Formats: sequence, C-alpha cells, structure tokens
Amino acid sequence: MQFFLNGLPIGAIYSLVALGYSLIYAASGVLNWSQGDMVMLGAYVGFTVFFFLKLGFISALFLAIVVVALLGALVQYMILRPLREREAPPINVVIATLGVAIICRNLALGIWGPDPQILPSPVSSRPLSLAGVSVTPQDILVLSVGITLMLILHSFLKNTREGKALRAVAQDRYAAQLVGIDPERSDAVAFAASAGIGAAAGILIAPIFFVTFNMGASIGLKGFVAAVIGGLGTIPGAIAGGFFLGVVESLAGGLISSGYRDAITFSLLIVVLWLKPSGLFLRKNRQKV
Amino acid sequence: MLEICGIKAKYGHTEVLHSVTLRAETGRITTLIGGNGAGKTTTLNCIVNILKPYEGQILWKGQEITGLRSKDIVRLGISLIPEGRHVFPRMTVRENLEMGAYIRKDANGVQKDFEWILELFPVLKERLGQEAATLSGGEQQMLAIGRSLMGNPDLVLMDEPSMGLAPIVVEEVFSVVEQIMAMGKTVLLVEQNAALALNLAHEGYVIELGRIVLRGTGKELLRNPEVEKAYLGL
Repeated sequence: MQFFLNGLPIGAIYSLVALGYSLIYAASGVLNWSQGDMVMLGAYVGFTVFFFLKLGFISALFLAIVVVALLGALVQYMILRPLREREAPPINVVIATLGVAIICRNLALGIWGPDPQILPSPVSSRPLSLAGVSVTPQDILVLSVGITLMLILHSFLKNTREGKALRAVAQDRYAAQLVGIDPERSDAVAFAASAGIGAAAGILIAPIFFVTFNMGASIGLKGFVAAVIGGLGTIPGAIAGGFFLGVVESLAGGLISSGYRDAITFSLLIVVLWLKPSGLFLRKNRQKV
Repeated sequence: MLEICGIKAKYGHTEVLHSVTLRAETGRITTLIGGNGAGKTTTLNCIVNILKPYEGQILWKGQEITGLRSKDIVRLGISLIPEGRHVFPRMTVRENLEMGAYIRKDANGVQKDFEWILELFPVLKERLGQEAATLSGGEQQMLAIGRSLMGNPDLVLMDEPSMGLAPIVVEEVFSVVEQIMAMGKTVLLVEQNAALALNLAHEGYVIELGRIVLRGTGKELLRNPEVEKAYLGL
C-alpha cells in the first residue's frame, strides 16, 4: 500500500510528460524527442525565477509554463514547419526534434553550468501519517497541481476554439483544412501546450530530484514509455500510463530491487508492445485527443 | 463564378491532370463525371489547394486563387465536401457542425444556419450528442454536407456524395443539392453515378485520364452516345 502511494506523485509527473508526447503525436504525427528537455528547461526557468527574481513558487510555476510554452511554439514554427513545407519525410522531422533536444541541453549547460541545482519546496517534505500510511505535503502538492493541469488541459480541448481545432486536426487533418483550420497553427498550439505541461512537471520535480542539464533524457524517456503503455496519441491513455508506470516502478523498487527499476520498466514496455501494442487502457475504439 | 483554366497537377512525378478547363456558373449546378482515377477528386483538391496545380489558373469571382493557402480559400466562401465524408469521428454531431463554422464571426448567423441545417436534416437533430463515428453512412454524409453549409459558402464542391449509400438515401442527399442551389449557391458536383448527376445538373463535363473530353448541358450529355456507352451503361 505504501509503495503504491509512493508511486502516485511520480506517476503524475510521468503522466504530464506523456501527455506532451501524445498531444503532439496526435496532432501532427511527430514524436517530439525534446519533450524531456522542456521539463528540464521548466525546472531551470523556475529555479531562475525563484533565486534571481526572488519571486514565489507560484510565480515560478506560472512563468516557467509561459516561457517554455512559447519556446515550444517557436520550435514548431521555426524548425518543424519549414521542414514539412520542404516535404521532408516524417523521420527527418523526428530527427530534428532530437537536434532541438541536444541544443537545449547544451544551452542549459552553458547558461546554468554543470552543477546540479535544487529548488526548495514551498511545502514541507516531512512525512505525515494518515491512516497508517505516510505521505509528504510535497507529494500532495505534486499530485494536486498535476491533476489540476490535466483538468485545465481537458477543459481547453473540450471548450475553447483553439482546443477544438486541435482535436479536429488530430482526428482528421484533411477535413480540418477543409473547414478553414490552419493545421500548422494547431501543431504550434499542441507544441506550446506540451512544452508548458512539461515545464510544470519540471518545477514539480525540481524539489525532489536534482536539476541538471541532462535530466531531460531520462524523464523524457520515462514519459514516452508511459505514453506508449497507455496508447500513444491518446489523452486518457497518457494519464493512465503515467500513473501505472509510477506505481509499477515504486512497487518494483520496493518489492524487488531499486537497482533494477529501469530494467523492469523497459521490460514492461516490451511486454506491452508484444501483447497490446495499442496501449493497455484503450477501449476497442481508439480514443484520440 | 468559378473558372479553371488549363490546370495541370501531379502526385510525386506522375502527372494526373494534363489540362483541365471548366466553369461553374453562379447559382447553378455543374457536374464533373468520369471513371475511377480520371482526375475528378484531384480537380476538386486543386481548387482548395490541398494539391497545388503546377500550371494553370483558378479564378473565383474574377480573382485568382491559385496557390492561396487552403484556410484562406475556405474564407473566400469555397467549401469542399470530401469523398468519404471525413467527419470528425470522435466529435459529437453538434461539435462537427460547430467546426464547420470555424471561420465565422457572426454568432447570430451561425445560430440561424445551425437551426436551418437541423431542419434540412432532421435525423441530425436526434443525434446531436452522439459521436460522428457512430452514425450510419447516410447520416455521416448528411453531417458532412451540414458541416460544409455551416461555413455559409457561396461555392459548394461535392465529391461523390452518393458513394456507398442506399438508393433512398441518395435521393434525399440529391434533393438537398437542389435546395442548396435554390439558395443561390453555386454547386460543382463530382459523381460516378453519371445518370443521377446529369439529370440534376445544368452543365456537365466529362473527364477522362486527366483531360476534359466533353462538355455540354446535362440533357445534351445524357443523350450523347459516347456518354451513354461509357457512363450510363445502356
């Protein structure tokens, strides 16, 4: 039970990162390998806002989301759109996102240096005992902010003009063009939303893990695994996949061996790809964005 | 009026339209008939620049629109109802219709058109909250037409609206085509079902292997022996 609970906050983080992959994949068919680095940039921007602008945690969270979201839109408009206009094969677009990831890492190394940083938590990380299990206020913060962001994303996709256009593009790009939607613009919205969500994930884990220039590699990969386990390109799948992965990791680490946690995670990925490649949590009809 | 002058287009390196010239007169139904792979759908996709013609011109209301981006062509009042319907499968009927009005800012006009379209297709009214993927083929075709009309277009391009539908549903769809025309809209109808299309249309064109080979009024083409032999199965 304790291990199960421990897995939920990190699961929420994985869910957020997985949502980033799935949103972009659903909208434009691109696997964005810079997703993890948006997490890293979010953490650093939050760190900078907190220590150099001396603003509070909420401002850091808010500014990190905005700054990194703009960066995400910029990546789509400046790098990926020109590629597609030159009719580059999809694999080249994916490779370009890998390039973006490396550039981000290198810039972060140059700006913030090689030493790991840590962002103090706005709440205590001393465990509280509740009904026989212990949770930290930090865990509760991560979970509540994470779930709030998921609800905001849901409402954005369901109720706003841009959100509906994004869903239309994801469901039928051709038809979306026929009703006058600019799919490149929707892609930019998807990139911005994904980067913003990733940045929020970065701020949320910054008090738990060290912030380093290459942290995006591992968190990005975990988020990707979560997205695939849940069914790539689907919103409910990304959320479920993230929580599932967080809990499995925690159980595996606690009950088997924390040293083999990653091996277990990726074995699970392969098993899912064997047995249920469309994702563990999908109904018969593929539920896209 | 829509005028297409000598457009050529290719997929990859294969030229599929060699020279297509046609006119769709304002307030009339013009039809483009031809066999499978003759270039009918390609012609429509060129008009909305989903596929960019590499030669030739397309004029709409006297203004050249060749090469404009699709989203801007839609905003000039041109709407394509695509082959295979292409409704947004995981959106409700209501959301699909709303998406049709994506380019519009006149909320009152949108509301009026919404009500009018539900009168035109009462079956959609019963299904407003249902996901489009759960509709029958005929209902999806009506939704695709409704979605297009929600944009209040002046020119409606219809690609094979009868495809895969039961005869009774085809009749319903075609009666709507006449109503659309009666509202002063211009219709360019692409059909494999030549008899149906020519009976309805004022003007018709026959396309073969990427070339317009015949033109005439609907009645003339219906009586044309070549058309009879090739497309009417007489």
